[in-house]
Order: sequence, then structure tokens, then C-alpha cells
Amino acid sequence: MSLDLWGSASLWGITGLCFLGTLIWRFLGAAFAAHINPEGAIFQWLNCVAYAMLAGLVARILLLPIGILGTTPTFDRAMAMVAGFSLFFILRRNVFAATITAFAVMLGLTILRDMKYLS
Amino acid sequence: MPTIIVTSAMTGFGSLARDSGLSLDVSVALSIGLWGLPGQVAMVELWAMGAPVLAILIASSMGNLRFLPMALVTVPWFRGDGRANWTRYLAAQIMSINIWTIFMRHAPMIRLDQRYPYFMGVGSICLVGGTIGTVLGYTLAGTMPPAVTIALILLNPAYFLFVFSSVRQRNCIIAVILGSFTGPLLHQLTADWAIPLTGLIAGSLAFLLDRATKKNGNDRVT
Repeated sequence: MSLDLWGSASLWGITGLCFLGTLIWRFLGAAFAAHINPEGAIFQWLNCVAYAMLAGLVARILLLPIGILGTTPTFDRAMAMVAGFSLFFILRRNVFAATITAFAVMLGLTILRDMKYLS
Repeated sequence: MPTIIVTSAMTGFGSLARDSGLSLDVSVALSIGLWGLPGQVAMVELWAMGAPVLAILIASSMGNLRFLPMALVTVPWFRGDGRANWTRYLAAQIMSINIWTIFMRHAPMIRLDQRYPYFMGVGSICLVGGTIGTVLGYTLAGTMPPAVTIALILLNPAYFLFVFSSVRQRNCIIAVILGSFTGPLLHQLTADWAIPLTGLIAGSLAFLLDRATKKNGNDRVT
């Protein structure tokens, strides 16, 4: 595979459009934020909406992944997360330890599968 | 820690971009300009499939719709700090899940005039990390063992699920739990609209549930 440094004009065009497609949400959010009271109910509701959206997105990526992560068994991903959450609660909500554990378990399981120790 | 996460996540994106036939300059421009993985991944994958421009634009934009509620609850934290209006838009542009979760947690403890520098500081570091990650992933694509790539890609969602699980406000915790179930379920019905719908349904439900249960024990809740 050769290194492709510079993109074509059409590719840049799509990139520009997609940039605007994301910018609009950020822009609208910043613009309407001026009318929101940080102590009010609407702010609390939006906060819930944001957290639910992000949690839904992350759960979807873990349970129904696309791309290379989609080639791994659900069991492996579940084990990595179970191990991570175990450490998370044992060590009083330690995000760092939990993340490293999930990473290590996933790496270990994938290597074991590659070496045919697990089928 | 957030820098490691964002760098590894963008390494994953860089190698995906290379495999999909994108050029390096466009890959980096996407990371810096869109600065939101779901929208970037949607753009790259659909482009590689040869999808029509409008379909790419809509999927990529929907993938990053979460920035709307995120910006709505971020910007009010800066109110009254005496800075010009355009700084709000700059903050909204540099915002990512990483910066947002850190900021939402610490903002109440930070002095009003220090919040914007804090936000932009963390944001810039993440942006640099993300750019380095994209270039790294792009140049290293195919040379890394697949097991490492897989574990690196898992690192990102795993980290965020742990971060969300350590949120302190009760209504947000309910929203995270409900959202984790609703997101994958809705995805099987409608892939494009699943995330915005999850936010609206699970988020509203969490908000109402929290309010309804608070009313009963109003005296105890401060």
C-alpha cells in the first residue's frame, strides 16, 4: 500500500461538506445556549439527553461494532468489560485501572484466539 | 489519560482511513475539522462504499448530532466570564467527548474566569494528540498486529463507559443506564436515527424518573 499524501478535489469537497454537517450542531448548540438557565429544568433535561446519547453510542459500539472490532466474538468484548467493571467497583470507581484491565483482557483473548488456544 | 485515549482512538481512525483509500491530508483534516469519531467513521466508510454525496453528508452529520446537546450544556458554564461571544463558538468547535466529560465534572469547582482557559487547554492537548494519532495510524496501518489494533479500538468505548459510570448526579446515572440499553436496541430498528432518538427517549425518561422520585422524598434531597 503506497502512501497517498494528497487528496483529490472531489474528496476535499465531501470533506468540506461533512465539516459543515458537524459544525452546524456545535454552532446551534453554542447559539441557543445563551437562552438556557444553568439552574433550570431544561438544562437538567438536556444534560440527561446528552448523557443518554453518549451512553447509547458507546454501548452500541461495544455490542454491535462495525469494522475490525466487529470481527471479534461478543463473548470476548463482554469478558473485557466485565473484568473492567469488576476492577472499577473493587477499586472504588477507578476509571484508569478499569480501562487498562479491559484493554489487557481484550488483547489477551484476541492473541489466544489467534494462536488457536481458544476456538 | 484522556490524551492517551484520544490518540489511540485516532490511531484506529487513521488506519481505517488508509485501508479505505483516503489520502493523508484529508484524514488529518477530518480529524481536526469534524473532531468527532462517529461522524468521521461514517464519512470514511460510506465514501469507500461509493455512496452518494448526500447520503455521506447526512450519515456523517447525524453521527455527530450529539454535539448539539453537549454544547447546550457546556456554554452556560462560561456565562458572565467577560469573554467575547466568539470564544463560545471556538469552545464548541474544540469540544469532544473527552473534554466534555472532564469539563462537566470539574466545571463547578473551577473559578468562572478560569473555566474557558481550562476547557481550551485540555481541548488543545487532545486535539494535538488526536492529530498525532491520525498520522500514526495512517502510516502504521497494516504493520501493527491485529490483536493490538482490536484492543486499541476497544479502549475508547470502554474508557467512556467507565467514565460515564462514575458520573455523580443521579439523573445522569439513570440516563447512562437507560441509554446503554436503548442505544443498541434502537440501532437494530434504525441505524441513522438510533443515537438522537436514544438521547431523546432515554434522556427524557431519566429526567422524569429522577424528578418523580425526588418529589416523594423532597425533604431528604438537597
